[in-house]
Amino acid sequence: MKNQTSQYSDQELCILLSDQGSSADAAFAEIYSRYSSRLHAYCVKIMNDYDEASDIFQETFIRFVQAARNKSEMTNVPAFLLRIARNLCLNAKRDKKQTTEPMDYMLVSEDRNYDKKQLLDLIDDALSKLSEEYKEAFVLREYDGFSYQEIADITGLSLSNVKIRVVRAKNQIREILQPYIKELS
Amino acid sequence: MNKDLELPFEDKIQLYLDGELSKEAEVGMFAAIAASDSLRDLFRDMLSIREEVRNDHRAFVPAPMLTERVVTAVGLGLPAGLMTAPTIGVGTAPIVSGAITQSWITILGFISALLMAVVSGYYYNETTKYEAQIAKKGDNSSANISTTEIVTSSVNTPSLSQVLQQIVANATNIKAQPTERIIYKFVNSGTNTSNVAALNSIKEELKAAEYAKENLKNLLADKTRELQEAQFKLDRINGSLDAEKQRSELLTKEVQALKDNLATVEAIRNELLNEQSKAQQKQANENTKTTETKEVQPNDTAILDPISKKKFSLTLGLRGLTSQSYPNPQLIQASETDFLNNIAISSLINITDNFAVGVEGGRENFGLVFSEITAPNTTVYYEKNPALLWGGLAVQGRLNPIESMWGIRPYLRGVVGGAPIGILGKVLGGVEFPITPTFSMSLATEGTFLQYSLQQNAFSTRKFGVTYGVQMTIK
Repeated sequence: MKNQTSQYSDQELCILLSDQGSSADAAFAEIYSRYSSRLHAYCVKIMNDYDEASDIFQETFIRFVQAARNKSEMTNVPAFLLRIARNLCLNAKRDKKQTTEPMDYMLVSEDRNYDKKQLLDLIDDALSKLSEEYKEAFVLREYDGFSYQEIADITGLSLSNVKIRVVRAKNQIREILQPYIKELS
Repeated sequence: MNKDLELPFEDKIQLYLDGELSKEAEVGMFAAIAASDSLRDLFRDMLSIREEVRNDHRAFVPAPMLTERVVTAVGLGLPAGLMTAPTIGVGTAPIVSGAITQSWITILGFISALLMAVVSGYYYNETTKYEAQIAKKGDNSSANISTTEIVTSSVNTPSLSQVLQQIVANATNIKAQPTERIIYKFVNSGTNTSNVAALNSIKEELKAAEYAKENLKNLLADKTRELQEAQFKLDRINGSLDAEKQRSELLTKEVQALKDNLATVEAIRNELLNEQSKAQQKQANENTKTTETKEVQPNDTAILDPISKKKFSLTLGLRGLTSQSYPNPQLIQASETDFLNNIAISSLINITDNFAVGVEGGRENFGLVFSEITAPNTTVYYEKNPALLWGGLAVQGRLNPIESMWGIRPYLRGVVGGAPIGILGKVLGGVEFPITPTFSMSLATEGTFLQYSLQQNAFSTRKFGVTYGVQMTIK
């Protein structure tokens, strides 16, 4: 079944998933195999908290399966998944903002010792210094590999806005990391 | 007009790397990169960042437990033993990975695979030699049996070491071959079915070993991440703990200081209470003593005499006079001007330290000029200088001692009284010089007025002069 499902398009897999037959398991496995890594990266990077990101990751797939079973129209499955995850992340961040101090993470992050870091850690820190809009643009582009048009579809922004956000986010990240890249490379 | 052409080169590079730059703008961008070190650095930096992001295993690979959670939550099952691990990185194909989540099973699988490889190694070696000989003879029949998906091996049958090397190479080149699906299929010539079976067996075991390796890598990454998170949380907790310790120490010091202050205040309070108690006791004793005194000594002057009770003092004074009468008598006998005919004594009760009342009397000469009708149309004029006794009530006010002038006390005294021939008034103004608390000397100016009458005619005389004396105060 695996060999077969790997040949199917996303839409065909969604149809299999909605049938709830024996092929639904394989269809879900294939969709999970295709998109879980991008979704996971988005949740982890946007939420910056592994437990919360895991909850959102799980909830996204639950809602996705429900939508598939309801035969909702999904022309772009990864974008659909990301939209669900994005809404959940926004809700979680809004709730979190009401209960916790937003500076808490920043303060801890500042205490880290840059000398002992690898570039990935530095990228994480640099990401945390970006505004939420720029961070999301960077993650959707660099971690999830979405095109600018897909990012515009997911976020509901205009293409030119997406272009500006992605470019500025990358420039800012590079600006922050520039002193360390040469040392680490 | 193409808007990309107007962008800064930095932005053009970012767009180019994202595949979003127009072809027209690319030309100018490459020319700028060729001419600028900083743009080349930017290009390299962005490639480094992108490469690093795609190696972010922690971000891209959900923990096996999370995958199980998701599968359970959505109410679906996955193909047993072959649950496909998620794709790593952007645009990469899925990696074949086992869903063996129990590490001990994977370890056992790995060990059994190695054992199988060793046991079948010799036989396999011989087979490959045989196949090599056939290949040399130009027998190409094996090519017809090849499967369609050939990724990692050539059409020629590889040796075991080549297979192992290829597997390792495939495992390590997963990221380097992002668009290829890694499928471990072994191709053989098919001339020897037992060899094929053995090789298939080895292939399966090696695949299991590879699954184990991947799972162990995943598990290691997962645990490493958990460890980092735990360390992160621990650091935060330690930070909070340090802050709480400092706060606790500060509060302890404050509490101790407050305790000390409280003890001090308590001691002062106790001391004051003792003093109050002593004062009350003393007052009670005094009251008792006074009551007893009243009962036992009813004649005590302190009680009966209000002046004494108020501790009034008595000042006795003796002073001499040197004064001139107006009008001047024509005849003044020497005997009438000596000291004893020009003195006064006083006794004043000091109501307060500044005010006193009392009596004063003395003897002094007065120049008298008066007339008497001795017969009709006969008037006799007299000029006399008699020494007259006088006396009266005295009132005195005095200022507090002027410390800057040896403690002198200015005073003013008035006397109203009489002499045998008429009424008399005196006014004195001067200063007292304290010698001891009991004795003092005085120096003052004095004016006296005496009015007398004869045969219903009123006459008067006045005197002005200086008076000097001593006082003794009895408390």
